[in-house]
Amino acid sequence: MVQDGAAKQVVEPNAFRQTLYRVLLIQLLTLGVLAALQLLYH
Amino acid sequence: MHWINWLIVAVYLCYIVWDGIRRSKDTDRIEGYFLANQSLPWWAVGLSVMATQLSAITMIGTTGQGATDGIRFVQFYFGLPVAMVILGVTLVPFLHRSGVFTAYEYLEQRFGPATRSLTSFLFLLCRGMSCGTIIAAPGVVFAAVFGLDLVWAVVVIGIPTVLYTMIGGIQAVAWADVKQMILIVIALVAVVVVLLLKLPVNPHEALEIAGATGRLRAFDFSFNLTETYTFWSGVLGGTFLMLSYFGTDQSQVQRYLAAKSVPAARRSLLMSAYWKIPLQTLVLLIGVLVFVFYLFQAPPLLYNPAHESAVQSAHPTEYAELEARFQDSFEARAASARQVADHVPGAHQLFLEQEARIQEVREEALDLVRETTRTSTVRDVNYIIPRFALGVLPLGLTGLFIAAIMAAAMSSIASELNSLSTATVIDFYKRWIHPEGSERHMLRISKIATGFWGLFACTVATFAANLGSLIEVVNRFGSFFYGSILGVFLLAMIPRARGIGAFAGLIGGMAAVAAVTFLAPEVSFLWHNVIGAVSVVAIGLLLSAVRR
Repeated sequence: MVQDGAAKQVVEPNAFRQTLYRVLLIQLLTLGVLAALQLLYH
Repeated sequence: MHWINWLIVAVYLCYIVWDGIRRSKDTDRIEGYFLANQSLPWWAVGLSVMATQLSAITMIGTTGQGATDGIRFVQFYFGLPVAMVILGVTLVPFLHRSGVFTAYEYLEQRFGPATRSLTSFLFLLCRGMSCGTIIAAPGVVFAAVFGLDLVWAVVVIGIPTVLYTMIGGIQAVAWADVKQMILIVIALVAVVVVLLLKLPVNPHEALEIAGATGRLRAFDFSFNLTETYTFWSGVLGGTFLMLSYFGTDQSQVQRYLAAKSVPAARRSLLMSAYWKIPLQTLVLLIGVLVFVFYLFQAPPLLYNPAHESAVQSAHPTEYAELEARFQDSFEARAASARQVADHVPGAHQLFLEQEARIQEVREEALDLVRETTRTSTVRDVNYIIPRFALGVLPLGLTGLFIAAIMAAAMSSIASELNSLSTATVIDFYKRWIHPEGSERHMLRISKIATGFWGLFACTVATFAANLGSLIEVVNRFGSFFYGSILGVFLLAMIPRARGIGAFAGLIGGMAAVAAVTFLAPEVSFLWHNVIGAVSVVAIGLLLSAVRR
């Protein structure tokens, strides 16, 4: 059967925000290392 | 290669096949065979996701790219963490809770059978071909390096993979992925340690020399649609590409559909969000360190031994003359590289000039290869790391590294074969041909489908004589509809979108990408995903509004 209209999704805002912060932190650290490599050794 | 290294490779192959067959115990129903009864822990799924993405092309090609071009390729992955977070809160809960076997099955629930069948068919077409290139890439390199026939190289990589995937299903694939990913990381770290020990300069000096050639430039902030690897193409185009790959490609979706729960599926994707960029940086840095290593120890003029012997016998005088020039330039470059490390004034410029001279000689040697083999696309970047592993790594580690390259290839091939079989059986056989088939019958058909796709991929790999152009064809072909399929999934989340809009949008999105490809071929393929996805959503919403 074809179902019109998307299923409703439940997103827990706090859990999402925490995950986002954690991912952002690790990426910033990694990008920081890459930027340091580029700036120190050019 | 020393027999101890061969023994390590043989032990690895035997263990992986034995372990895979052992896992077949819990796969007596198709839910077990395709989804592991949704029983896999998050960390196993996470490692399986990473192992599926990391193929032998990463181990051979990306390290080679690090040696020749530096680490700027890492920008390609800048969109990955963003995509993983978006998928974790949108598509993953949808797919996991809807109880589907394939991502395309969900599209039927939403838009009808036509959209499901078309997207699944496009997946089978593209993944079937790309699976062949994934076997062919290490196959061609191994054939040249070990002096094997290409068919044998394909058989050694392909047959064990088909065997454990066919018998053990996703349980075998996922648990083999876990072990293969661990083996790959151990081998990569061991190579870094050996490189650091063998370099005649300290790590700081090595980075100074590499930096002098621009190989440590990770960021390019220019907004240039024709340049593939820039910060913006990575963040914007890369996000769309990764959303397509991890959100709509069955070879990845099936990994997290097999997770125990929605939170486990989310965590498994976040593992890639955390570790992919650091891992990719490590892979590229290995290439950079190999480049520095070969500044002080003479590399072969041509890394591909098959090319080397072909040119030596066809043009012995010219090749000997080139080798003599190469040796002189190498010694001059080694001296100036040391001066760069010692901060001698003017050494930087001199070093770059010597480096350009070496590249000139190498290019002349490659021209001789082109003339001898009558091939226009000759590149030997994929042979740098295998030659390094065979010539420089200590006894035992060479075998481990070759086993890791095979593990990288096998982990990707196994996941793709498993997902190709799933889409064939669930989206076509069970849906259109034999909906009432018993569990036993479906399981038998699933195993036959896995074997068929394995045979198909091995055949494509065997005929991949001109590998460079084949990969390009597959990539270009894939980029026609990768973004468009993502567009259909995005439409699925918009309540007002209708089936007719999704189907027409999919066709329109592919047409838009085709138009850009032919009318503006200079636009980098990373932007095709953005164009495809946006076109599908726009056309889909417009038509859905008109047909309301």
